[in-house]
Amino acid sequence: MLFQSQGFILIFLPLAVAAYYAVAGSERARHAVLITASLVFYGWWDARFIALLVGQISATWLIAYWHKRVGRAAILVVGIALNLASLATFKYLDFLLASAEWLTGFALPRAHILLPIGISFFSFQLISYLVDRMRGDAPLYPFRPFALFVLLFPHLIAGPIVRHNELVPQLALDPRRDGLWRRIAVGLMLFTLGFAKKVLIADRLADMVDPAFTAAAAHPLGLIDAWHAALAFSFQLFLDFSAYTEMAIGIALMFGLLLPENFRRPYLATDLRDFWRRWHISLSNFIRDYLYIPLGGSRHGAARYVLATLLSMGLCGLWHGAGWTFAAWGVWHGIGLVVCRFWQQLARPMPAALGWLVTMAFVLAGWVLFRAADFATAASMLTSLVGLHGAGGSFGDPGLIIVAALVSALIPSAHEIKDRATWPHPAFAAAAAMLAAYCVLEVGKGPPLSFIYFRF
Amino acid sequence: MRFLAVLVAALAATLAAVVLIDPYDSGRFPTIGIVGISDTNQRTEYVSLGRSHKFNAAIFSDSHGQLLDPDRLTQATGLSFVQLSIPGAMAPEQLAVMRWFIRHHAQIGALVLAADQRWCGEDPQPWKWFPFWLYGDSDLQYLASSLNSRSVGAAVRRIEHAMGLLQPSDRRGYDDYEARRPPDYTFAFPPPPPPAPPPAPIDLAARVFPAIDRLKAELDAAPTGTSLVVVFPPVYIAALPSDAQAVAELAECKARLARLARATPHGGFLDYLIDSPIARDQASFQDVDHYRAPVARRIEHDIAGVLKGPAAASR
Repeated sequence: MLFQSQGFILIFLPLAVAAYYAVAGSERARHAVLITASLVFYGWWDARFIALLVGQISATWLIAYWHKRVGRAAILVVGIALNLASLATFKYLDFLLASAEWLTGFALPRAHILLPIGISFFSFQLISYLVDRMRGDAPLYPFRPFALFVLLFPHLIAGPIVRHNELVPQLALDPRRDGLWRRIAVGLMLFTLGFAKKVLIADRLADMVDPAFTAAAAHPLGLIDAWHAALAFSFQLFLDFSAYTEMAIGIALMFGLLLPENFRRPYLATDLRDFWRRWHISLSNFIRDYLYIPLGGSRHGAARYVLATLLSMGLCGLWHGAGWTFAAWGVWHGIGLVVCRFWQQLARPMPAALGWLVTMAFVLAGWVLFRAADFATAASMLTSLVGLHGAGGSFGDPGLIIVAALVSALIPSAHEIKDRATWPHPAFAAAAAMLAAYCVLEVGKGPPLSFIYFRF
Repeated sequence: MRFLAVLVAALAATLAAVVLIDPYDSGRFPTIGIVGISDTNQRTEYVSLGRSHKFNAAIFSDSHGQLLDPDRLTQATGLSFVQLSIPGAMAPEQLAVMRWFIRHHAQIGALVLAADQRWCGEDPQPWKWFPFWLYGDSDLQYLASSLNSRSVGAAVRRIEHAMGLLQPSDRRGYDDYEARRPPDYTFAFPPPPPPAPPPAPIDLAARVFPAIDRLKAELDAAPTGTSLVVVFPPVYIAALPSDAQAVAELAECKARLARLARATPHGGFLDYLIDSPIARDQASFQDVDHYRAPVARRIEHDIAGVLKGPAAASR
């Protein structure tokens, strides 16, 4: 079930919210409503994977429980390995087989396993809990709130990646506490904002991007076509994913829960380190805390720093997809971060405008690698971007690109909106409702497009 | 609360307006009484024509049956034909329109099916973008699916049509693709394939043809006395199947459709999808797949012959 489908907006969400507040006085009943809703939400795609999801959650909790009784860290290592093994099997097995085949020259069979939606997200959350337990930073929660911390449908499929200590304590709070109507109002506004960004801008950009990258796989594009496709994808990716995040944070607020921030206008970043503090923040924090710092971070000399950065970012790339183009995209950013840090150590800062230009050019080149089906298409696209295949092409719908750029630059992050929003004026609420109604009619036209980050 | 009130009111008002205006003339609910529609998209246009009692006979197909003229068939047979062929439609979509026509007619003179290989698949898949909900049995699904901007646009068009601002749709659903052909149109036909020896027979007794099974089920629900004429229109010789398996499957498919059609009163089967003088004449075709007017006239003449003559006429 997609957040922007009519079934979700007109039936599922109102029913879930109504049931939740009908039993708001009982923590146990509230949790039961959210767990049921989340399982229905997840099972809507493929009910077979509910067993995997519930199995991974249950196994992780049992391991934590066992660890509490026995006190051996090795037990937690088994739990981490179990979650990694699930991720490796369901997401990376065919990729690993194909890579082994390429390396060895031996023909290997393929498993052709369907990718369970959201597996990267819920596996990471479970791993982070076990690592935190190993560090002594995570208590053993009762099973119900622990399961709900992973299952909660607003973040289950595509984040933001939530840590146990950010969510579990909130699950005990009475949603009718002070600020109830403000939370619901802000939640509805954020949901509408994300809904409109997804339906009115990101999906329309997809109609430009998909044919262009398909064409680039067949023949080189001209300079204008290549820039058109690369810019359109850069905005599509941000608007699509940030729209999902805003809808997720908005829905969670309707249940009285606050999910972490994920984006802070990343295309305003003036250096690459700044970009990663603004882009997919919950993943960046995860990579920092569970990969980069354990690998040595920046406190063990330059060589270790370079290695930790490249490895962390390479794995971050692979997290996005089982393909070498994703790994290369991660390493590309790793190299960029290393260069950025050393440049900053020279204490010769670039003018902000130049820094922004260099950063955006670097990010855009990375997105080409991220979106292209293979290295050949990426190379073709990148050479087109520097004009090696002529100046041909047309800027199909410059108006849409301009709107996308303005929305990307001007709309504050979800948490900024939440914190700054005053009580909505009735006329503003009515206008937002009309926008939401228009979007509901638009999505009713045909099968809605999935969010890009669902596939990760 | 203002947000929720406006959202619910806006959506409810939109749905109410769509139901009352009945943008596709579905006749499912009481309406404000606009007569006729103005629609150029056959996928939605045939909701109105398919339920009209002005007709007691219909042509179902994709673009391979599109050029058959319902006016000429009406004059030649004495029945009242409507053209319900939808370019690009596969068997599931054609069956949905046929079911809609059958459901809305207590008396049917003839159903003409201009079939092609799309009827012979083992696993016919529905077309993602076809509005099955418009032709379906469920009014509830119709209501649930009506809440979209396309229906709103169609409702606005119907209002404009009622105000005389738009031309009505063709009264018999006919769309002559030849009329849109530019005067300097040419087509580079591929060379005819070299003659091939007759393929070895392949036993297809166990092969399933789900679309034909569904056609039989629809026919069983049709009023007594309904005739079925199945036509396989011609294609240019180079587009005929050559692979032995495909040839055998097409032959078996034709045989099963022929049996079904001949079992109906005044029903019959006409096969032009063969190597013949028509199939080898480039002047008969606009492209390898689409015949031209003289061929359409001949097919119409033969269909009329089947419906008027003794049962089970065949070429």
